[in-house]
Amino acid sequence: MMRAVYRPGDSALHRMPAGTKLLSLAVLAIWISTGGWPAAVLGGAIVGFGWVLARLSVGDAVAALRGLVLLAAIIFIAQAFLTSPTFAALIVTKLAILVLAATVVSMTTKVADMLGVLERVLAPLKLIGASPEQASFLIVLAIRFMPAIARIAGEVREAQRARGLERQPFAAAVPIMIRTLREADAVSEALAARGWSPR
Amino acid sequence: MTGADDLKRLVRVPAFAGVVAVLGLLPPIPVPLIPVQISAQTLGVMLAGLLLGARGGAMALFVFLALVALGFPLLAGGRGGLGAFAGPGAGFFIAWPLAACVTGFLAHRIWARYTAWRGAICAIVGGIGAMYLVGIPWMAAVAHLSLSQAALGSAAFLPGDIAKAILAGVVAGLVRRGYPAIQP
Repeated sequence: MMRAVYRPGDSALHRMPAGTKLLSLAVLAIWISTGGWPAAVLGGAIVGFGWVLARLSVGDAVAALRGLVLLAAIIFIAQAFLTSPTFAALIVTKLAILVLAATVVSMTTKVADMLGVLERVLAPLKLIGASPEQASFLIVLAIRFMPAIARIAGEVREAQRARGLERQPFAAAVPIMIRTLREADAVSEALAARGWSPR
Repeated sequence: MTGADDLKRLVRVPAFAGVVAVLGLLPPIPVPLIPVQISAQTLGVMLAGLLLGARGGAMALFVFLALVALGFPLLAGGRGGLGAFAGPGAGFFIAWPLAACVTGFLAHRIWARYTAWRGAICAIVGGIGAMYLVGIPWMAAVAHLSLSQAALGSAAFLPGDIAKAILAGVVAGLVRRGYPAIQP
């Protein structure tokens, strides 16, 4: 059930190291968000080039921007009244470019490669006694828990429908939480039985 | 405190990250009278704080945000990947580790005399207060609005968030009774 936004492919962007992509994204994001129209137009061209290079479609861009539409419309209307329509257009354009820039990175980078970068970024945490390996362990365990919790939620809702309780929000939330905790504690016991201990 | 307890506390962290993710899969609930839909995800944030405490709650939400950043579309409405962090409303979910942390810190202090209402107040201060404290200035900065304008725009979500805080207080109380092994 867990599918990342990653799109398999072998374009130049797909092959570029994840760290390079993320660093470029950071630089681009700072440049666009602090710049004016020249940065927006040039940044937009760069992102558009990347979009084509990654072989993503116009439909993908529409899908990526769908979540932004409502808020962007409100911001545009507010800014058009408060300042000027040109400034409103600049802000909304910059927002759209930033979202597309970040999306192209996520769509061309495997989760495992992203995780590799995250581990490297978290490596300095060793100095304060935390462990980056533990962070990866928690992330992987969360991915393992998700289908189990979705199954629990489905079973509980099914059982409550059978008893005509589907309109009571507590009726589902409490058994879902308790069964999830029981599942988590069972995983802890299984890990302990295999000699696994935190840190 | 034994090693086994430490391990249980640690493993509950990704389990709650999973709960927040699964709550995002539920269809958003339309609210009568106001033109916004509420997602159940912030309920998960508040419950993580109330049931795991400051440290566990914050860790659970950091794990959740890491999953979103890695590329999983786990935010309500199927949003995910780095693109989600670029939106003007991103501050509201980037604040979730802090929100769970504050909720958990308060819940820990009242744990011995927990009632649903006290839990709801923890969730209002942490889950709503801390979330808006980050979300509103974030929105103001990204959209070049003043703080009061951004706050006004966020007020539409307040009734739904208060309803979720009350629900979280009640649910945490019942979970605590039904599963006494839990301690923030």
